[in-house]
Amino acid sequence: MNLFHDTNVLIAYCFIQDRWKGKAEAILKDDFTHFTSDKVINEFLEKEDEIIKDFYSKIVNLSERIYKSGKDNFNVDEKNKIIKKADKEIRPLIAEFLDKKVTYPVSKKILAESLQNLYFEGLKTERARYENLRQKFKEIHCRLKEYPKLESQLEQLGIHNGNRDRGILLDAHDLAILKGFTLNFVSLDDDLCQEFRNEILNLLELNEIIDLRYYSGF
Amino acid sequence: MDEFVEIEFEDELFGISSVNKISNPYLGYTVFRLLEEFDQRFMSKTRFYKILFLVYQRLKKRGINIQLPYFWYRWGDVVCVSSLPVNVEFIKYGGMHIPHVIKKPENGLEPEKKEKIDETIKLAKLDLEKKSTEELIDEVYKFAPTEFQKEFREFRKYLDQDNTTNALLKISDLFEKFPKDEFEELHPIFLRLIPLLRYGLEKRKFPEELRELTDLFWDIFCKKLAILYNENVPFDLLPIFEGKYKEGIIQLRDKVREVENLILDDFAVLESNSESQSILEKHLEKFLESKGYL
Repeated sequence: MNLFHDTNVLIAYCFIQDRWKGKAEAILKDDFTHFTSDKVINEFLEKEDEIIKDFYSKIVNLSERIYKSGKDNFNVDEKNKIIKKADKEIRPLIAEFLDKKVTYPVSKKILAESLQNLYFEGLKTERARYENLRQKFKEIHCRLKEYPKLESQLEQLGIHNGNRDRGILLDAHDLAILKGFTLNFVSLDDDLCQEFRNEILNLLELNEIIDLRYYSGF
Repeated sequence: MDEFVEIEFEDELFGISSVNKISNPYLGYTVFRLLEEFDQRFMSKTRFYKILFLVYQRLKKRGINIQLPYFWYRWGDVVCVSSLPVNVEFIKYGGMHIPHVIKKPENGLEPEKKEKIDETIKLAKLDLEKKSTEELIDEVYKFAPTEFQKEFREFRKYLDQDNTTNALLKISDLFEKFPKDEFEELHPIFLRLIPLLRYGLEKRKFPEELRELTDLFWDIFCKKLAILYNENVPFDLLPIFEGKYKEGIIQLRDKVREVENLILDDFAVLESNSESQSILEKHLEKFLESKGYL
């Protein structure tokens, strides 16, 4: 089976594979032939930067605040103070991390270092998965042909994100035509998988759009 | 005597801007008198820029604004020589570029102001002429518009001296002083730089890579610094620096990723499929869903 993967599949696989047990990993298994496009890879790298900026770097931020704090040690009753030092987005993470992974009293150096290690561990896991994923792709398709009529029809459907969603769908369409094979599009996007699924399949040379969230094997 | 590369694209910068001159006659007089007074054996382009800047600041304190056109960059101020009212030529001599003014500025200046300028230059000669170029840069840095650049310069010195302990201590200051509102685009990359510096310094690994990385970071930082902090420049610096700043950010992002990969290869995860990773992913999933990544 030939599968073309959307950016969000790469994100799920690289960032939260353990949380998606079975799904992203099962669909990316070696029995299938995997494809994606340069647009997907570029979008993934941009999103990766954003996720590092908006989530991972907040762990660094907290680690640095702890290095800078006047205290040498933290006791168990100071957990809430530490949580408050964290940016809002990562407070639940920090609360659970402080509960489960820290032994009190803890020196500021050890606490700051363990947060830095959490950052590196997350990043390392993500990069290793990304490298693994790159090797699974038989081809990263670079589309040369434009499809202005199809693009405008997709836009009329309500698929607004031109450089992203429309461009990626057309990459898959172009690949299917060039190779002359049956191609399935895999995504987690509600619009593509549910709302516009039938219309997209009518317009493009795609066999099926697979919603990874509900995938339970072929 | 050492000379610093003040700006990598000086010809391009001053070539396109040579038609715009500052018309302040006291500026021309100050430049002429400074080069007349100071021993040319102790003068270089870098020293000229720094001394002229310090004289400008001292004159301002005495109520004379000579409107020196300059912008902030890596080694302090860079004087827009092409915009000075007198033509300054740099004569190459033994690896240095010695500034020289051929034509004396015309008379017609107020004697009282001329006297103050003469006095200020004579006093500056007494305490600045014998200073090393580094010391002159130190003096100029006292006027640095952001605390961060002072901290970063210190940090780079420690890095160059392999003074790991002090470099590590400086990281917290860098983190605290980064001007994130003014350097918004650079801030996310800076945050990725911090753990790399800490890791490399703590493990005493990758010194060359860290130097290259911080050098590139500093280079990009200074491009925005020039746009933000300048005085009396009679042409628009924005189109000259903005493109280079944006290109630089992309280049820096690639470099950060390259060093990140090196450090991640070196970083040993203590437990495979660790509990920490599982906690991280659980909360990351919620974040990714709430932000529409999935």
